[in-house]
Parts: sequence; structure tokens; C-alpha cells
Amino acid sequence: MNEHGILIVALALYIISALLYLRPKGRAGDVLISLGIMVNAAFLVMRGFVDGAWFPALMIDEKLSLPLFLALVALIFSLTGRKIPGRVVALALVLCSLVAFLPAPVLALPSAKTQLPVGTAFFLTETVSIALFVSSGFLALSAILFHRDTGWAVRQCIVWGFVIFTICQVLGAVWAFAGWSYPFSWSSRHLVSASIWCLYAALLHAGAARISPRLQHVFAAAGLVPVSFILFYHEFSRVIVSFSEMIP
Amino acid sequence: MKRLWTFFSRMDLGFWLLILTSLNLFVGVLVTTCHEALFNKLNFMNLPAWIQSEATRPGLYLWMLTLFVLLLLLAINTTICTTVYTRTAMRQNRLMEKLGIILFHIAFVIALGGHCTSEFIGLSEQITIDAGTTTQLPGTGLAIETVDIRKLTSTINGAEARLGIEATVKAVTPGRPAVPLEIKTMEPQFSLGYTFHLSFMDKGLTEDQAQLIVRRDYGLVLIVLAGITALIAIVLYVRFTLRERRSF
Repeated sequence: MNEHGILIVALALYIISALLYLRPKGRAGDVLISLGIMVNAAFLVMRGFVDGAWFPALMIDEKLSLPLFLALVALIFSLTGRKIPGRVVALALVLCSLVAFLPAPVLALPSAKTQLPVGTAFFLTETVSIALFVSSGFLALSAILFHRDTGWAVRQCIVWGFVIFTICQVLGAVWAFAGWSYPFSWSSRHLVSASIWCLYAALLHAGAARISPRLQHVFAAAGLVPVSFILFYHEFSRVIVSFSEMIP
Repeated sequence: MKRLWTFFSRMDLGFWLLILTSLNLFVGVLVTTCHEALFNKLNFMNLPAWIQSEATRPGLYLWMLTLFVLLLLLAINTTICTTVYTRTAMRQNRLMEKLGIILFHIAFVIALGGHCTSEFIGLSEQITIDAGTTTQLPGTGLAIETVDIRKLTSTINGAEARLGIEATVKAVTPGRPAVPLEIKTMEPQFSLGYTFHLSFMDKGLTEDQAQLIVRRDYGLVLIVLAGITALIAIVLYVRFTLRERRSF
């Protein structure tokens, strides 16, 4: 089976497990999502092997690793008896894996940028935190649109996502300094990270600031916009540039 | 004065300032995406000098001015709220319990101070070095004598992977012995109060040429301090949260 075939198997497992999560009882969904995680992880490990050598940095690709961490979030919710959050995150998982796994993966080659372990740690923590922010966004959307009681789950995803994202920003600053000479730059990539950090920092203070739960959910759902910008950086950039060129 | 203190110690003020900062940064994302090359120049210039060079195009930098105002207000709000929070924690004999949160806010204020210092004072020069020649660094009194430049490549899966650049240089200051430096991409060297970085970018350069970045960043110490403080704060927060959950 070729590399793309493995991803399609993982995608099929994620879709079936998401459908099984809709059933009120049973553990079949958990079993299949675990299998999906294993297949997804096996693909990422194989991706790190290039020409007989193993490059850990090549394993972590934001788009291809995101479904794995979303699946883990869904599984944790399900195993702890929180079925509704599990279902919602499984839906996010299906959408993200459709986008990530349907196009054939691009062969990655090692480069100077991937040689420092801090770079790998940066992408790993970034992907985990994005998975938690995407989960919080979908959970907040389900609270707004379908009046689901997902407040606790949204809060947990934001707290742990923020903690890991902060570690990611520290690692990113070290990596950027080593590679580009500055810990922060006035580039869209750095600015969008700062924007995301501020948004979720605000949401952490929302309870103490007595902001209504509905407004908190609106902001948590709005977080999906800058988070998508990180995931689809090149696509978004192209759209923004071509749009700006249309303005006289 | 007391009214001002009360105003700035409000948690909801902090919440809205963070939301506005996040939005402001996202506007920055759109602007920098459309003018990538212009903002790339800013990474090697002080902010006032860059604004002066773009003075006739306020659309490029207005969002930065509002960002600095918001960050200043946020720093004041964070300092006052943290002072009040610390006082309350001490009075309730819960300082150790809350130390993670307190340190995190202190790290945030230190990081803001560090980034602000980096933007307004300091020095950054990017020059092309050529093996066997000496290049003057404007504004530093330093001269760089380039002994050797090596481009590291490897053929992986039939394609050429660029694994970085190495250079052997000597930093020469008048009246002092020359300082030999071995610099590699992703591995900067610290010497004579400067950091020396080799850039990945070598488009249009010959095999004997590379881009050298020499930087004196006064904010770096504060940024490093903030990073370490934030990581300690996270460890304390996670430790306390997990212990609390176990007892719950």
C-alpha cells in the first residue's frame, strides 16, 4: 500500500468511528478511532524515514498530524463518559481529515530548518494546541447552534490549549532566534500566533470578567478563523493578496 | 489617582483589551500579508526608523500605533490586577497555590518590555560576506574577515537537500585582537556583545557568498527571562491543577 493509501484507511476509520459515536451506547467507536490513531501515527513515523535515515522533524506536519490529536481529544472525551463533546470533536475530526488526507501528501525532505529539535518541539506543541483550539471552536459552535451543554469541555480545551500554545510560543521564539536572528518578527505568521494567544488569554479571563457564556462561545467559535490561518497559511495568503490587488 | 487605580484593576477591562489586541493583531496579519517585503525590512531596522521611511503611507503602520497603545494599557492593567491578586492571595495564605498564575502575568509584562526594547533600541545589520574578503559592518566599528564558506547539501531520494551553510570568520575591532567565529545556520554565535547569525537565504549568491546577520538586541535578556518565567509558571500551574483534581 502506498503512503496515500494509508491516509485513506485512517480517514475511513475516522469517518466510521464518528458515525458510531452517534450511537448512544457501545465502545465500537472508541476501538475504531484508536485504530485510526494508530494508522495515522504509523503514517507519520514512516514519513520521517527518508532514504534509509530517520528525521523526526519530518513526522510533524501540521495538517497531517492535526487529525491524530483531534482523534485523541475525541477519544479522551468519550472514555471519560462525555459523549456529546466526543461526538462534536469527532465531527471536527472528520472535516479536518477530509481536508488533510484527500489530497496526496507532498514528499518532505530534510532541510537546515528541521535540524534543531526545538523546531520539531515547536511544531508538535503547535499542532496539539491547534487541535484543542479547533475542538473548543466546534464545541462552542454546537453550544450556539444546537444549545448543547458543552461549556465545561470548551473551557478545558481552551485552558490546556492555551498552556501548550504558550510553551509553543517560547519554543518558537528560540527557534526563530536561532534560525532568523529575531524571536519575534512583523510577519503574518508571527502576528497570527500573537492574535490567537491574546484571544485565548482573554477567554481564560472571561469567567472572572463576568462575560456571558454565550459571548464566550461566540469568541471561542471565532477563534477558528485565526487558527485556520495557521493551518492554511499559504492558501489564505494567496486569497488576501489577490483580494488586495483588486482594490484600486 | 484612586479612581484610576480602580479603573485599571478591573478584570473586564483586561478581557476587552485582550480581545481588541487580538483583533488589532489580525488587522496586522492582513496588512503584512499584502506587503510582505516591506515588513521584512522592519526585522532588520528599528521601528521609528522604519515608520520614518514609510511616513507617507499611514495605512501601513497605523495598526501598529494602536497596537502599542493597547499593549501599554494591557501592561498597566496586568500589573495592577496582578498586584491586587497577589495581595489577596497573601492575605488568604494561598500565595504558593497561586504562584503559577502570578508568575505567568509577571512573565507577560516582562515579555512586553523585552519586545518593546527590541523594537526601539538595538542594532541589526545584514551583509553579504565573501570568502577571502573583509566587509565593514556599518555603525558598529566591526569588520568581518571571511575565511571560508561551506554550503552543506546532500542528495536524498534523488533530490538535492540543502542542509545549511557554515562559515569561518574573524570579527575585527580596532585596537583588539581578532575574534575567530565558526557560524552555522541555526547555530548563532555570541561575541563582543553581538549575536552573529548565518541566513538560510542564499538566492542569487555564489558558492563563496552568504548572508551574515549581526545583531545587538537589548530586549533579548528580558525576552529570555520572560520565557523562563512563563515555563516555571506553567509547571507550577499544572502541578497545582493536577494535585487539586486528584484530591477532588
